[in-house]
Amino acid sequence: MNRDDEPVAAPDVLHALPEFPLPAALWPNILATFARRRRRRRAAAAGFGVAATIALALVAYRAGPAAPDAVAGMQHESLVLQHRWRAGAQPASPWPAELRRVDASLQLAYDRGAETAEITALWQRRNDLLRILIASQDDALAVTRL
Amino acid sequence: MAPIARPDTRMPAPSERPERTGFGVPLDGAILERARRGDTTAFAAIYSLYGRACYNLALRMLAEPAAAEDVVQDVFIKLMEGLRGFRGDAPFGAWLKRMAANAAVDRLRARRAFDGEDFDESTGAFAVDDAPADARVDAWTLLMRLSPRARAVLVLHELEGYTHRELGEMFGQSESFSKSVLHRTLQRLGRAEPDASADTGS
Repeated sequence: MNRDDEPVAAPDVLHALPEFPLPAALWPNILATFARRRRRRRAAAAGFGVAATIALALVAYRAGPAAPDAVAGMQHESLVLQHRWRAGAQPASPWPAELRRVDASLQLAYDRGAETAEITALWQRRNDLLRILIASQDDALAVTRL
Repeated sequence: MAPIARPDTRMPAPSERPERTGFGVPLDGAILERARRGDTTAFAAIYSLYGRACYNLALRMLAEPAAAEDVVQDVFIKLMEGLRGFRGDAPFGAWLKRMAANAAVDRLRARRAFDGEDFDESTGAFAVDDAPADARVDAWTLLMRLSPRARAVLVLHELEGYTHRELGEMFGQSESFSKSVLHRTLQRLGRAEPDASADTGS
């Protein structure tokens, strides 16, 4: 047994320690602090709810109007390209079959309320086709000049 | 020596203190159930049963009335925020005592009261051994002269009944740490024990 293991009796004086009374204001303070924290937690929860609603609204706003804007931009671009192609084509030139298929697909997509992404892709395809047609007109013109 | 913080004292007669601390008082199951449902009057009843024991435990460990009040507040707010931690496999008072002791130890740790402290030197700094032989040192003053670590170990082991193993866990130390600190503290207190007539105030 080492020195620290040797039992040493606690002095009796320890058991004569005074018992101090609770401060009278302590319980009201505890209740007030508890109520304050609860209010803060509720406010934080409510604030979180409001913030989440605003965030969702923002996401919806950005996701919503942004996509139709993109489609509208493509529609406008399509009109410009179509005008350019028409200007360079023979007056009696038929509407190219590939463009007719894309237009039919677009009409079907609008009719069944398709997703914006699908409609955007179809407009993109239409514009790509028009660019190819315009490019082939330019090539033909170059060949004629040569 | 810096003045020792001492709250207003009222020394109850021994008949008013049927037990060493109030944590041994059993809690009525109906009060516990009401408290589980968030009934504030049930928490008030729990406070009237155990609040004083919590306060005195914290005050003895921390030696500052304001810090002891903070401990009681922390413990009871945790209690009111949810009794989920109490599984009922130990007496409620013992569970509450552990909460109060842990809260007090956390405060001592936050004050870095345990860091880099040499127990022998810090105890010596309070000059218990150097006190005049006829000094009328009462029990409270004797306790307050101990270092925070020595005081905490002494209070938790000798007054609250924690084992050295439990104290080792509580302080994040080995069991022998607690034994060693207590042994030296008791040796010093034994040499400094006052005249019994001087410390009761009676």
